[in-house]
Amino acid sequence: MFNLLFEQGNIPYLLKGAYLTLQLTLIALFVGFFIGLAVAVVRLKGPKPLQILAQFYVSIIRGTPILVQIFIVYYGLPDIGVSFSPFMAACIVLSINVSAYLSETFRGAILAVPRGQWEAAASLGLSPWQVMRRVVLPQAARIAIPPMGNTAIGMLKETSLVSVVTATELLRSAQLLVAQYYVALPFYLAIAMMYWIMSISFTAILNRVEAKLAKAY
Amino acid sequence: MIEITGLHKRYGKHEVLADINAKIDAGEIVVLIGPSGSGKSTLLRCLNGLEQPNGGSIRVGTTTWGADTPRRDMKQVLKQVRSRTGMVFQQFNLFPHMTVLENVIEAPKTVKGMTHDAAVAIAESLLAKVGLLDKRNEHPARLSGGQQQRVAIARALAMQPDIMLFDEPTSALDPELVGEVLKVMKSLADEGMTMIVVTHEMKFAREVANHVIFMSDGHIVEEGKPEHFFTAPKTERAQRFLRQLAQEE
Ligand SMILES: Nc1ncnc2c1ncn2[C@@H]1O[C@H](COP(=O)(O)OP(=O)(O)OP(=O)(O)O)[C@@H](O)[C@H]1O
Ligand SMILES: [Mg+2]
Repeated sequence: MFNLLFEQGNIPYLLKGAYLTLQLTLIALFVGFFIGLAVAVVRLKGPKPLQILAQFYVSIIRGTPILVQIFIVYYGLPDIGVSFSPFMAACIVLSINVSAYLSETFRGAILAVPRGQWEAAASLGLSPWQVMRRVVLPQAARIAIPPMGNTAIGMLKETSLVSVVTATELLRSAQLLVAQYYVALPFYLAIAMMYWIMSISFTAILNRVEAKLAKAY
Repeated sequence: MIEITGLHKRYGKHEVLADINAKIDAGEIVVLIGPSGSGKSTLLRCLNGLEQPNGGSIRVGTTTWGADTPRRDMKQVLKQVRSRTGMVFQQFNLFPHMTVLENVIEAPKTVKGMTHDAAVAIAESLLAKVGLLDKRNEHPARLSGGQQQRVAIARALAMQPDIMLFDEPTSALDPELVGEVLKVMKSLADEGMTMIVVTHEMKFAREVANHVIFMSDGHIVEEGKPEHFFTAPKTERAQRFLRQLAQEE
């Protein structure tokens, strides 16, 4: 049974799926990082209406299942004439999703920077934006990195959900092979292994970054 | 140089500053003392625009503002006021992610748009003045409290303010480190800097100050020359405070 796994082209096929999973994860994290940062700053320092809007955004994204969000973007939006490829739809939903979670992380990290830091910077004449950029965010980044790592690993696993819209990431690659051979166990075990390897690689990278940051001051 | 007129500050119902009036001339060294919670920090923070008054007005140099200064004008006011006043905090508040030198050049570069080289030149001469040039590449966490506070003074001076505000600059320090900070402050005073210092260091107040303001419950209860205030305080409140202080020492 397990020989099937090693039949011509199956492992490379799964690896291609793994590559797509990794790509989705990194794109979602990258885009979500910037949206999340903007949302966090707006929620803390923006004009009142924007603050409320940002809060609403986070609440809606966090309060609805990611699967439903994917269905809305991939199956729902075409009804009003907006359609995306499965990969694009997956990128959009995952980016938005991760941005909402990261914005909470960033908000917490920004609030964790002591008041004295804001005041000292302001008393030197830095504008609110300069205080944020030069003094608060660099310190908040350090606080945010461990939880950000957890979000990254979470995102890696969440990407499997987009298999439902036929984006051929790792889980769907396995499903296609299962459908071809009528055997499930080897393929699912293989991709579990691949997810796990990617997770522990993320963790290892994260640990190194943390160790480095801990040294710097 | 500074004029405070009918200043009020409230937190909710709590009147923290109740009708403060004071005038401080260029070159004066004013020591602000009073029991905990009397509003000393709040007064300093108002002068620097960290707190917005609820009534009355403040003039620093040629800039005047008050409770009813519109928000859009405050931006300009804060910019002017903060360029003239430097502030030193009890907890130092150095930027931990920057080296000593980076702490000192940050504002000249970011706020004044000074070139890196020009900012470094100023920073180095100031660090030499506070005796910490050799620590220029250390991070604040590696310095003692006294050293950190001296860097904080250099950082404030780098903006070339006319007035320095000190909020209990030595209160967070181990006793053996207090002297090195007071020495730097004394040399600043000797150079003619205008200073307002919240401190309980009586020796410093007697030797360096030329005016003492005693506050209690948001009021200025008594003020005068240090030699008069410390030897023969007029009000019962000040007498009691000084007795308590003497007992603690
Ligand atoms: N942000 C704030 N919100 C509410 N109350 C405040 C705030 N800041 C200060 N207070 C109150 O205002 C009063 C005066 O505080 P302030 O810090 O000015 O006193 P202080 O004279 O500096 O005292 P200390 O010697 O303890 O530093 C205190 O009762 C304090 O609790
Ligand atoms: Mg105080």
